[in-house]
Amino acid sequence: MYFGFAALLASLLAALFIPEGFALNAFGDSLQVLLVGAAALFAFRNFLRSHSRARIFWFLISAGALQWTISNAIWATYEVVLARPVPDLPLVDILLFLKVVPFTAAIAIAPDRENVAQFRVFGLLDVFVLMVYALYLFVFGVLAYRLLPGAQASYNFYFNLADALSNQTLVIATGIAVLSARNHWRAFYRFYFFAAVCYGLASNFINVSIDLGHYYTGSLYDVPLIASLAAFLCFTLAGRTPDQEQLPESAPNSTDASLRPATFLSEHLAMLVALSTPVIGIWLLFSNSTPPQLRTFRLAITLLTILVLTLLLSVKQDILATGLFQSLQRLSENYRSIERFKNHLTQSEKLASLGELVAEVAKQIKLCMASILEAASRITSQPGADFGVQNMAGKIAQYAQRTDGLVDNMLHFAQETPMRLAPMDIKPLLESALHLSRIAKLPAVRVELSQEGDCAQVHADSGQLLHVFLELISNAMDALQEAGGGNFDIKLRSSGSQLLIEFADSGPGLKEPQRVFEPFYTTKQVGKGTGLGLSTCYGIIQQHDGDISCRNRPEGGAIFTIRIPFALATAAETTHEAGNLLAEGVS
Amino acid sequence: MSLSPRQRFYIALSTAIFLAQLVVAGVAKPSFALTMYGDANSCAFVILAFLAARENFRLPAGILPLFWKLFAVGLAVMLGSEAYWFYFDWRRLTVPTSPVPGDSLFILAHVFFLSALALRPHSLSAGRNLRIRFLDLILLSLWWLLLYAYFSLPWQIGRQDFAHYNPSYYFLALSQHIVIVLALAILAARNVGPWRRFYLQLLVVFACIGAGNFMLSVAIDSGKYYSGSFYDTPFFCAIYLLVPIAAFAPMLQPQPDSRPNRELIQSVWTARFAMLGMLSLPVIALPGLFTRDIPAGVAIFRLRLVFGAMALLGALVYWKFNLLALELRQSVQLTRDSIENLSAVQQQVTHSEKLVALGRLTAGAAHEISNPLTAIFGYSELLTDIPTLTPEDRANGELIRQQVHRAQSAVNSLRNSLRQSPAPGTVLVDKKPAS
Repeated sequence: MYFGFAALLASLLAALFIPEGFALNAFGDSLQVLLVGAAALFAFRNFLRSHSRARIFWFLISAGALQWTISNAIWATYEVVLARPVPDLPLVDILLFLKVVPFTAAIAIAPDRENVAQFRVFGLLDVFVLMVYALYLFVFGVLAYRLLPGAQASYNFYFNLADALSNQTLVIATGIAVLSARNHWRAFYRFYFFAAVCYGLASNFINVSIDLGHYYTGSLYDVPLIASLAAFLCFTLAGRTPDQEQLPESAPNSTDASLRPATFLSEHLAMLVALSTPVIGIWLLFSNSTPPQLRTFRLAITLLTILVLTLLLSVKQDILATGLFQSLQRLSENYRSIERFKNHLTQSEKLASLGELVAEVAKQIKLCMASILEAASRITSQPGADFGVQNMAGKIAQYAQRTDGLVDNMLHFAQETPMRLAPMDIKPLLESALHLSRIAKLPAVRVELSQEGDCAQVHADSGQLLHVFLELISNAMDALQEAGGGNFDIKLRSSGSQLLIEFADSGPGLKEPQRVFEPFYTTKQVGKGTGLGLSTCYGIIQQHDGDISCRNRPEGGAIFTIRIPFALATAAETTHEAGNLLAEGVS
Repeated sequence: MSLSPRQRFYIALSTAIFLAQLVVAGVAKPSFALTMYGDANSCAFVILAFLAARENFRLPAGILPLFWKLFAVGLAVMLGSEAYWFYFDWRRLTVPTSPVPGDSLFILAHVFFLSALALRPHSLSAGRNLRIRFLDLILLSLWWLLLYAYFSLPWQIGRQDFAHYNPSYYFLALSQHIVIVLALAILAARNVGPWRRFYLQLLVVFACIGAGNFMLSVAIDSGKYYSGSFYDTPFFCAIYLLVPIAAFAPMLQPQPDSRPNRELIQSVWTARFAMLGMLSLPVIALPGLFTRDIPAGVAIFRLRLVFGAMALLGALVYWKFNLLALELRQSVQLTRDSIENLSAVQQQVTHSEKLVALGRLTAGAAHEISNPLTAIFGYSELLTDIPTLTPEDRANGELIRQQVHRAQSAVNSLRNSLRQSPAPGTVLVDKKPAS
């Protein structure tokens, strides 16, 4: 900001005090190139740092600034380095004129609105269409006159006209942007608008003065230009901030509303513009006033533009059509899997209702146990009771507690609760799973639960993990029954920061280990396997940031391995708490 | 399946005409009467084929009526072309009269046949997504006509330049026939059973029409042709074959697609072809702008045509874009809904899976629970047996016994319901627990 003011002041002073000559030219040129180059650089940096629409916005801004820099640099090279008057180069004119196109197009991107990714690319394509069209109009209306011998005056006139028109367009576009922008973008657009207004005035000013022969680089006429460049630089500098506070409106309901207005204008504009080219062609064919050479040239570029625009529109339509195609495909897939899940629900209804019954009974038993515990505690709390009675009441309370614990586990398991992670030991959970499944009661089956070394606690939801364990055990039971008996080993050990639980059975092994976790994959007979058990396990373990895998053992049978990260934070917490307790004990 | 009496009549009539034609063409000398006879016959054939196709308008299965309607429109247009030549010969008009109406109608008829084939009548899913595909088909049809208008028509407007007109028209007609034959070959290769037979029959028909038309063109140029001559035979033969093909068509039933969403892929490709057609117009026009050896009038006509066509086609594309964007938005919304739906169902399934697991271990659970209950029951018996118990303790002991009983009976009811459904998947548990 200060730098901009300093540059403005310097150019003002230079224009006033340095006499016309090489020094002033050099100063004026280098200041311009420096300012525009810096703006291009900052815009490019913004482009690298931003996302989604804002990224496209800054890409276009930096592209425009780059064009501007190149045209200024060519100018400066002739004036300062080669020290001779600038020849009449069409490239400089084209670059100078066309920079306005990406500048205007950037606004059409509407970076202040977030959109579904699918619709973002359309915006870009539409902007391309508009850019091609602007180029076409320029070549058609201005550059064509260069072909005519002795039409330099009309070329200059039309160039100035086109330049003024395009600057007006930019001013209007930025003005609309300032008025309609949301949140923090409004502030940037103010800079942008200011730069556009200054530039429009300056360029009119300079064009007139060039035609009058008063102009030289670095003169007073350049001051508004420097002001606009400074404002533009400020705009690119300020552009750093939006990225940090960018709030993508990804709420599903807001997107639908927001994609309409954003894509509406540029979409229809691009289409109308594309439609106008053949109309221009027809007009050309019927107008006889233009010289034949110019007419052929114009016809050729009109056809070429039609070709390019049609190509762009074809790309767009292909994206639209394939997008629709994919969307419809996804839709039908979704409906199919909803169908399958619903089917599955009805299939497993019977077992599920049995489970519901178990939960209900568990609730009832829990009530009974509560009143038993109460009665037992009333007996034990009697002061003068004899030892035998106390002992017996104590035993009753003990068993009631055990039952209560067991029932609790089942109830927690059956509840439809959101996942609640808490630090816990795995081994007792495994034990109660083994108990509940009664795998040890199978004929000729030997069950072993072993633990290697110390295993810390893990962060887990006990109900969910119990579900996984029960599923794996019931799987092993089926396998062992099929084999007519065998061994079932559960091993717990730590491996790095993870707890490893291995369920190994000596059954017939898995037919397709890689497909076991696929939904609806089952090798069991109809009505027995649901095909969803292991895939549910997979989901649960994923939710625990863990990993479940399976393979066939070389010595026969299947082995399932679960890895769950240790509860590191809570481990630290518990040691901390232990430290506190120690400290309390000491004091 | 038997043919309707009307279809049988059409077949018999066309066979009779065909045989008569063969005999007459082989025997008779070229004369005005023979020309009239041949022209009338070709019109009669096309009318018969049209009538046979019309019988299929009321087919019940999906896209088939539309297919036959398009086919019949093609035949009607072809009848227009034949009728023009009939009129041409009848009034003894000669070369200076424009061949444009007859030729353009002939090209147009094939455009309809092509559109009918593009519907893929063998597929069950063909009827879906028609609204957008129709626009593409219109685009493609217009493109074919434009080719005629671009390459051939200018030589007949304001001048009569058969040296330029004829080759370009012959070439266009031939390439159109080749496209149709290729399309039919692809369709035949992709299908099996009756549909393959159907497409192969049509292939023979169009190969005949194409070959006959080409032969006829060569004969006209070398001056050997006269209406009713032997050169007409392939064409007659083809149209004659169409009558039984249409008559037996109701036996064909649309098949389900081998791959899902086939019609979507199809519509994407139709759209691509349409856009390619559109792209080709400026590509064709650009070199035309710089060639010097064509008359100025022709060049101007062509440029006007291309610009006008681009404006028209562009407007159609614009309309299509709006439709596409609308559909895309709707389907995005639908997808979003379905994802929500899916995750809800998935949650439901996860919960039900848990209950299933619980249900599967009912026996184990009943056993596990009843063990400590038995122990409690034993101890409560022992407790109440102690004679020195205070009345208060005795009351508590009784309470414990009562509660254990209740718990035990709950477990028993669980066992009972388990016994009622010995093997999962056979008996439904109707005993819903009171909540």
